[in-house]
Amino acid sequence: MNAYYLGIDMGSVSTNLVLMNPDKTVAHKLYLRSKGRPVDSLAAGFCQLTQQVGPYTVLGAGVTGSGRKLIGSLIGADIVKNEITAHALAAVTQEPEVRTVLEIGGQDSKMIWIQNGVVQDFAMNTVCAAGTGSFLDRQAARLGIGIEELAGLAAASQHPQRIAGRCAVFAESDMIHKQQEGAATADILWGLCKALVQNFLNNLAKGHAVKGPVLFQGGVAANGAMLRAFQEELQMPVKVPRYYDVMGAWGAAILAQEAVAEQEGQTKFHGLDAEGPGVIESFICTDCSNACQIIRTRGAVWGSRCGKY
Amino acid sequence: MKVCFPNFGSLGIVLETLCRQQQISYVKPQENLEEALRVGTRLCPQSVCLPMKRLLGEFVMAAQQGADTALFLGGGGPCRFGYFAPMFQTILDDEKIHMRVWGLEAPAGNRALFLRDFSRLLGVNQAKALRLLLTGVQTLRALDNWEETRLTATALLGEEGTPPKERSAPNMALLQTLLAGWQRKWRPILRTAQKAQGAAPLRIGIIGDIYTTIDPAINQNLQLRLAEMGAVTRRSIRLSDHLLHLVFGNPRQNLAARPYLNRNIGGFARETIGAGEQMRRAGFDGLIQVYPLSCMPEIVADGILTDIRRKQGIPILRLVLDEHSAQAGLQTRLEAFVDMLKRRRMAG
Repeated sequence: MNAYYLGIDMGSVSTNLVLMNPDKTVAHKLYLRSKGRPVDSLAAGFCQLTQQVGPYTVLGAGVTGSGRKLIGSLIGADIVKNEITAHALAAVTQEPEVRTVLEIGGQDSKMIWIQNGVVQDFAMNTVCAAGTGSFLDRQAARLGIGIEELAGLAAASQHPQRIAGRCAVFAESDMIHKQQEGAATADILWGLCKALVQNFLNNLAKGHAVKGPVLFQGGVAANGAMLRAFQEELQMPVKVPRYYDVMGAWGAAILAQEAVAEQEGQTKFHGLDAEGPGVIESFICTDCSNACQIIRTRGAVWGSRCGKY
Repeated sequence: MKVCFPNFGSLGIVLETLCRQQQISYVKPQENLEEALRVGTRLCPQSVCLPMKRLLGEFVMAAQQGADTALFLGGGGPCRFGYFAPMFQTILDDEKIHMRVWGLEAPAGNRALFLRDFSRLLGVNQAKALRLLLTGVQTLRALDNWEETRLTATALLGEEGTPPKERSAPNMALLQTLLAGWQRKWRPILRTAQKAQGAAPLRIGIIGDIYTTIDPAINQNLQLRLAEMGAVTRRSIRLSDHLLHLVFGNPRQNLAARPYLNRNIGGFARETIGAGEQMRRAGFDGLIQVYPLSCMPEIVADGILTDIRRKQGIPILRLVLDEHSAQAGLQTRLEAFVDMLKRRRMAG
């Protein structure tokens, strides 16, 4: 039976799984839409993975992504780590010389600066989620095109429309006005990609020099138009790594390997219970007027402001 | 007269103790942040910052419990912070809520006028009012020191090792004695713990606007979260020091800020820059700037910090706060920041 390190990226939009060989290469990967039910989609992911791969042994498990705490406590992860560290680690493993990582996920966007394999600085969008994957998804849906077709359509643009990229709400009304004035869909889409890239760099780069090699990862890197917009704006080559869509999960698997080595080779992984989501309970703590919602799983409890839980 | 005061870090404890000591009846500030924000957001101008929304919400809810006088630590201009007191008053009047808003600030820098008003509020003569004021600042200082000790204990010893939380006492002198006793007990414990650990813990400076850096409910326990990750934190603004600086100024900090910003532009921009630069020189591992969305002075400071980071290479994390209440986003950024600082240190 094959043995792998398991990496899970429990993102807002997608659930990504990676099975990694002990030599840090990716053996299998899976990219699934989360659809707002993290535990269900993880269970579905495990099923699909077993169908693809056959029976396998887990040497260690790492979890990252916004749902990492919940999933980590449910499956007995060896390590639960933030997305920045996971993404950077995978980028360095893929491209040891990498200096800049651009990452656009479902709800957040980040930029990571790396030197000699160590993260020097990072920036992440703060108050709003404008310019992230879910916004592109929504605009494609509004125009009635699949997100996969967006790049091809934008490529046909002759005269890109200027779209206000600062705020997603402004961008949407701007796009609607342009379309009502008769602008071609291709021009609007290409204009939107350019606006998003400009907004991304204005918000995150903030005076940081962008040095190559540059890697573009996260689900949005599949979008050729966004890649082209980044290359035009930065005026340098931008590479999309082979496993761009599961870099976080890959990083989590690498972290799991490190963690298991520190635990003398023993993994804490026990997988999901057959009863699945049934093991989560939540209640409202009434000890003070904050009325926090407390979440409890078999392994952990969290959610209070005062630190009681 | 029945007074109320907002949640504002340790200021609430001092004001509560002062009221008790002077037998002034008072309403404790509303603990429920979300409820206060709900009320405040309904009454405030839409584009105003988070602190104003919460403070107004707390005042309105206190009025429902019979309070007729609201105390708060006012700010100087030239940014809109200087107009908080009159804006609160106007909104409350418009809503037909009978409450006098009393900003603890010196009108146009007139300290004599301040003392006169303060003595009237307490119903004592001016000499007594001055003494109470000084005791108040001393008590605040003891609370600020205790908070730092507690957080350092969490960073070094973990959650189990954390000493007791401060609480109010019948009067300010007793509160000071209590805290001094705790300090005597805990300082040696922390020294021993630090020696036993060998490597010095990460040091992170918290800089930015006063309210969002000071109040743990607003910044979602920022300093405690960092302490739980093993980092020792220091804030650019401690209330006790701030009050002294209002009277005596802070020339050393202004000097540190001078190459970047040589005047007061309102709010705490100069403090943010000056303290950030001082912390960098003192060898802090990183800085976290915290401010409410749309805060003008901090936006200016943000731009200047970019320059400091570029020239000096110190990592700076920005946290812009608004009505968000989910905690996952904040936790992710803090974990990533602490992780990065640790790995940077390991790499030398």
